Amino acid sequence: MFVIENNVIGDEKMLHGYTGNILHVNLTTRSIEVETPDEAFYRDYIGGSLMGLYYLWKFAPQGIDALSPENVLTFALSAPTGLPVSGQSRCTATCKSPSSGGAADSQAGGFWPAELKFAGYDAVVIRGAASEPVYLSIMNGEAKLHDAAHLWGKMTLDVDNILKKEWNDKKIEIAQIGISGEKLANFASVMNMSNRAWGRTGVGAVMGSKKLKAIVVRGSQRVTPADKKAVMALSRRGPKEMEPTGMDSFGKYGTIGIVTSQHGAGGLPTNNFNSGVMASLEDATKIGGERLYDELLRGAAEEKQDRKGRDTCYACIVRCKRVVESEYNGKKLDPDYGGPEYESIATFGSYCGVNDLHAGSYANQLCNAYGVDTISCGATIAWAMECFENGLITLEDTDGIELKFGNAEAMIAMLEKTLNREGFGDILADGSAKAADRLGKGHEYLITIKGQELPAHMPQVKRSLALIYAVNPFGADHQSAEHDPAYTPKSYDNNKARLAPLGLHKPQDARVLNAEKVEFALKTQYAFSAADTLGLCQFVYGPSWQLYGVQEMADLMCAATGWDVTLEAIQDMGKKRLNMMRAYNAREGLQRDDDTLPEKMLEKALVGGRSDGVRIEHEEFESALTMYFEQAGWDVASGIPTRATLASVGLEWVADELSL
Amino acid sequence: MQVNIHLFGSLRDYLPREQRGRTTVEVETASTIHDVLHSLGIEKPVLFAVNEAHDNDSTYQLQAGDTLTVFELTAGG
Repeated sequence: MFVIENNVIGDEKMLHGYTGNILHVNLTTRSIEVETPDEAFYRDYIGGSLMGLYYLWKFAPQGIDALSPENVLTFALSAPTGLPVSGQSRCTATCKSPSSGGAADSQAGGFWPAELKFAGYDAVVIRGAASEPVYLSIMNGEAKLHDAAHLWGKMTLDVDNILKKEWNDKKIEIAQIGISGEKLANFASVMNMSNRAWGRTGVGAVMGSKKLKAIVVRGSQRVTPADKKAVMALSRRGPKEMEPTGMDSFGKYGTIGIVTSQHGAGGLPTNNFNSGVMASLEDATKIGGERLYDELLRGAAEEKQDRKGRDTCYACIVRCKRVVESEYNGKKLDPDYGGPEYESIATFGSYCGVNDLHAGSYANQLCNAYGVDTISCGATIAWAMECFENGLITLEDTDGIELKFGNAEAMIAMLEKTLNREGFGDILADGSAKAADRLGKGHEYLITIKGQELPAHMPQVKRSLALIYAVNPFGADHQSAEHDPAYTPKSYDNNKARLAPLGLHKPQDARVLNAEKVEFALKTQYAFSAADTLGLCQFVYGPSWQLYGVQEMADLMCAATGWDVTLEAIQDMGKKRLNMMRAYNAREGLQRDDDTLPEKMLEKALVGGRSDGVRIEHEEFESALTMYFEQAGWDVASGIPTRATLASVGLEWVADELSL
Repeated sequence: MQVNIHLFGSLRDYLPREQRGRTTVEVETASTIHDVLHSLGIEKPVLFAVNEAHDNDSTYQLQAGDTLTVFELTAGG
């Protein structure tokens, strides 16, 4: 199907948007090769997650251990990556997940994705494992492996500084694992800029198992779109859309800006998901984005935080990234480690019942320095707190740490143990689900699906998320479909106007999970899935409140590639990725039985605030699950895509391999 | 009578920056939540609470000393 030439980049660009080059690195044999697929391959597998899944399916044998050399780790871009328009510098990491045993899938932004494109590649496919630590450099097309013994065991920021000095170039971009990835922590991330994370599903553990410390990229090639004028027209529309879409506020306060409104809605996960509100609004305000903006962002004291305290990704005008400069208990909060997102301050705040913004910011910094997913790590500590509160674990287990809800110092102390795999922290380092198995208790307090801890949007109050969390192939994820408040009778008009072309015309209450809401979940899941295929940020491109809508995703792909891409084609791209991921999971043994919710969500009602007394009804959930499978074209009994559905998105060969 | 106002997120921009979303305003007796929001210039759909209680609609008549808390509607993030 394709030709692999030995580490040579083709001179002629046959494609617009893409480089036409895929880099293949086998760490066992230390071979480096360049594949130059034809246009048909790019039309079929587009980029991002879908392209990564293709290589995972083709190269990783069925049934492997996720931490074995046979796992295949792909970093993939798409056609828009590197163009001068907001929200395109995203890259997907794909492999088999050590958490779920199914597909792992995680996205990160920053400048690394665009720089990889400028260095000459659409994707890097990593196979095998090195015998000693190595790092990979990709400089203007030339790829080399280097000894990384001097980088092993170091914090991410130290590694960034060492490599920039060694290459005598401050503009190299570095994707790397931290110490937690080296130690194969199940929730280890891959970091870039020391503050952007491929956080979820354990991709850092897989990279660590390959003894690949980092991928350093730098290049001077620029992306050549088919229609440069159309790209620039879309780019110029961005500033005009900031205020009408509310993205100006999103950029100003960042994702953490929703802490207080989540509390107001009864949807701020508190004390390991037992409540949707903190003890008081004042507590939520203490960890809110407004306070972070007023007090902790760099430049806040002189009211220059909009200029000094907000960072961005390549060519993005939203500038939602936080840059914190402060201290916690005499320890510096280093602006180079960024600042907490909503998810991070929720897990190291309300999940743990902690109202200390400085402690939460410090926890975020530690996670970035060691390279772990803030969501799973913080949620695992919250789970341990609930076990401690209920006497399942004691001071003897925790090495004397009083692991109670609300105890910020205990949270930080246990985090440090977890990051270093010391004492009880060694048990927590593989996540709460495996910790419960290892301890033989605490399963009733788990908030995991497919081995992955729930993010900080509560399915009790955003009911379609109950469905998406359960069916999502790589475990509970808040960035895999639109959230219910975008589709209620009171939703903003622009949200509803964006959803209408997807066939969604009947807004429902946020806590309803009926047929209409199932359709909303599935159709917006396709849109989000398409964004992860096209390498687009889901705060900038999406089906309702984002800066650009699904139609603009199609317009951008038309401009980048010159292909005729419609809104319907974008939805089909998302459908294809979702079905391929689901089919991969089926190949690895996951089925409908894995599409569950945590026991406590079905058994216990929330306590306090606007969501007091709310819980998910078992019958309602099961009914929605069946409707979802029917609408998705998946077998209702097994949850596996049918042959007809796979064929509808060009995946007959997958159906053949599954013997469907 | 006087009521306390606490605005969050971008709604803080309806007040001078130095107030950081908090103020106390003088309103006519029997003013409703809708009246107060209108007087602040907030016309878009919002989420609100009075004294941290959430069971009131916009026709609720505020009492002297009440604290009206107002949040943006947010979906993801």
